[in-house]
Amino acid sequence: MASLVEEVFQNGLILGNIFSWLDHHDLKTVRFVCRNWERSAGPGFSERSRIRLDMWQGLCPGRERTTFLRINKGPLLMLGTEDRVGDALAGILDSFQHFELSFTTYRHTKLVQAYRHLAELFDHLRRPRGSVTYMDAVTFEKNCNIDGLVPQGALLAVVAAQNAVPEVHMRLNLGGYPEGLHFHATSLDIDCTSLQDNVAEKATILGRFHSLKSIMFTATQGLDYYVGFMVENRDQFANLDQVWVDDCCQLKDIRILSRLGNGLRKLGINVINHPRDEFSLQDVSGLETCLVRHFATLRVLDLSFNMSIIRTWKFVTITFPKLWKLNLAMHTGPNQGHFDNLDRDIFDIGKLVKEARFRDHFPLLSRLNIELPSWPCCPMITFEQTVDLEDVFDVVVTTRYGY
Amino acid sequence: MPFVNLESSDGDLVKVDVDVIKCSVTINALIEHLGLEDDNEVVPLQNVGTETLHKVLAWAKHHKDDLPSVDDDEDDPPRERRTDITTWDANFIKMEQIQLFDLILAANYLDISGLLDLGCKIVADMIKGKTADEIRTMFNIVNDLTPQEQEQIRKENEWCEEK
Repeated sequence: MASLVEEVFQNGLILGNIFSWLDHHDLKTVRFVCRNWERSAGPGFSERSRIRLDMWQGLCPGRERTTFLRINKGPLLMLGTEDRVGDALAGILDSFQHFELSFTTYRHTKLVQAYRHLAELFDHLRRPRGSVTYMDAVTFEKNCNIDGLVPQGALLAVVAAQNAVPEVHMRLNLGGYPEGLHFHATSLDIDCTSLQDNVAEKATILGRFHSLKSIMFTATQGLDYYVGFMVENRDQFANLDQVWVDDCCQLKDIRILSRLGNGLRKLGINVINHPRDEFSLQDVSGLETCLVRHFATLRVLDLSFNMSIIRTWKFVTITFPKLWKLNLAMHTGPNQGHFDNLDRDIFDIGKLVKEARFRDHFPLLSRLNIELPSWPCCPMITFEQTVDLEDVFDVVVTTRYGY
Repeated sequence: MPFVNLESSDGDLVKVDVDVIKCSVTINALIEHLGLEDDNEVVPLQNVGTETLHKVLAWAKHHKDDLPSVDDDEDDPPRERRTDITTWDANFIKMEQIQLFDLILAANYLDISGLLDLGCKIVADMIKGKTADEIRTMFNIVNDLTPQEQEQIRKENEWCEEK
């Protein structure tokens, strides 16, 4: 028996398979059993571990410590001007392979050291077997590098390292970027709220970005210009298949998204409006045009309405052949806070279920998340329809009330 | 050639439908490599005893119509790795620890991923929620980690988070 157990546990493939069924907590335990188990658990533990490194520039220019580095919720390293990142880390990341990184800088004289430390960190993490899989680059903001504090060569080196990361999240710097900088970023936040003048010119900053898969717009000022730029340069935005619009005050602005060359896979729109504003049919047709353009490719649709309306509208003719997840947040009402019997079922899901035509419109839908106001109102779909959705059509339905 | 004769390490011959044992990459390769053309030829399995071979064949017969797994599309609904065990499999795998470990080694030798996964899941279930000391006692394992190595693991475990 002992030799049989030993034979199983000496086989790295079998032991690795056994460990693959354990959760992260149990993996931590088996690492303590013996050296062989620690060796076999290592790859799975490393694969399933999240190592996030937050590096930021120290805020006190006079202090010797110029850069801070935190590893998850663990060690905080303080790096001085002369310190090397590799020496400071002293091998504590050697067991791990996949890293997430964030980098934040502020404007003052220690900026150069922060960029040097970032370059060293990249080199250290990319040693044999290591890779940075995600980067949240809160850098290249307008006050960080355009006044020439950081030598162009150092900037280019850091951007080159960042461009090799498969998933990079950035925020658009409307102030512009130094010459020569181009980014391979997968997702980009564009805050349109501060956009006031020279919008058409500012929209061309998008030309610095390649490989974008997802864009999040906050507000819709200048949306025409940004989307117009993407339409004119469609090859550059061939990977873009996710668009999110937050704080959308004018739903009619959404119409421009129908001009995007690619069919979107994920679309999210969060509409906010002044409580006394009335929603017009023109507004709704902007959204309808957008849905009609992208219905065939959408996998995830996330619509959130937070405004005062006296009647809703219906999109009953649109079918979604590939949609598997629909989030509908209908925080709407004619007199918010008071009972109403507004029909919030904008896709007529209840009727489709009742008439057994649900799968004609949503053949692949498996998740339906509904949000309704906190005040008393009619349910979007009845209890019986919810039961049918779950039991007959195999859709997981969740309903939440309030924000 | 609808049937093949498998010879266990005990020297017993077991005739089996090729369609049933197609889940074994090893046997498929042996059939191909040995160029077996009629029902009377024998595939020797030196690492599998008769009792275990019968267990393997019972599992293979029950699962012969299982569909192969397919890769997920990144944007499609996430499919969790199945950690639950069907009632049939749960009843099938009820056996002494020595038989279970024998079955795992056979599944590994015969390269039957579904059966290997099942056996490994059961061992993983034995481990879940136990302390390192309890695991060592259960499987009679000697702790050969130095205090320094244990301290290093402890530090990494302390701040390391799950993805």
